[in-house]
Amino acid sequence: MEITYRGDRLELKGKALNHMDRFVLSFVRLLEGYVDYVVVGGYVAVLFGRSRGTEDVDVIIRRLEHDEFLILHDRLRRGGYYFLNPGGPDGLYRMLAEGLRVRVALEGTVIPNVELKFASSELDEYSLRHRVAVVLDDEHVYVPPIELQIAYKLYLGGDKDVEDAVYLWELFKENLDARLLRRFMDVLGVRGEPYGIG
Amino acid sequence: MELDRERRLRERLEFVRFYARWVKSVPNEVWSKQQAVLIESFLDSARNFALGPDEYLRMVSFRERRVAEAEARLKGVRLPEESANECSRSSGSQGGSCGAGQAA
Repeated sequence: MEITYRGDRLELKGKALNHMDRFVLSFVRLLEGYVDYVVVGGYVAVLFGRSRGTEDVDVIIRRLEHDEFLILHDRLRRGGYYFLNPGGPDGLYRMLAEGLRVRVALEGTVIPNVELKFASSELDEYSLRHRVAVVLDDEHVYVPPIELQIAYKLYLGGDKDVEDAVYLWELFKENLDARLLRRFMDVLGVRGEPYGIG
Repeated sequence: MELDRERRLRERLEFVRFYARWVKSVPNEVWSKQQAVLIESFLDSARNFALGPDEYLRMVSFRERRVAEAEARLKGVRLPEESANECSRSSGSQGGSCGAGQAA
């Protein structure tokens, strides 16, 4: 793997894009220039080569005002997407404002889909503030700092989550900020040692 | 039962480490082409279920609840203040423990 990781930019050149990558890149292109976003969850490990299937992509955006969300809703609809959750834009906004997620897919499909949510915790805000641009030749997508992603996966604790955390650790361990990783693990009350992390 | 799960997870983690080492050892074109085949085949079989949005939302509701509960607990989590000399990715720092370099 050829990766260049400097500050808030991670270059991953020459990746043969798969269907999931193309789906994510098309979606985030509609967010670009309108609202800051960060892609989190299992797709981050998949982006870096993890060999597992995933059908949904978690995306965090800052909390929008109602009228801002209506514009985003319109932008996505015009872009060929629809919301799987029932209810019009007002109902969808209420769900998001209550901290729930809504799912978005391309018209006529259900899989793959995006689980969209507003930032709802300090960790979400941190992910947005310190997001890392993963540059794939002439495209890019923003992800959280890898240290936070590893700690969060350990926090979720499912088998697949732990596997994702171990995968990211193995891939990036020479490049990570050990103090930052420790700090996130402490804050989330998780330990990496049982899995050889940290 | 629990021991079985732990043993299976240990075995899976061994494979994940082995696979990560392989990904690091080959050019991006190589691992990503193989990964693309797997992802396409996963998505193809997932699409064969032909679920409507309502059925799909019912199917994933359990997983969504689990994540929502985990996230609700995070709302009380406070990050310590970021100190001025803390290594932050967005500071564009290079080298040292902040890590700038090649994973190859």
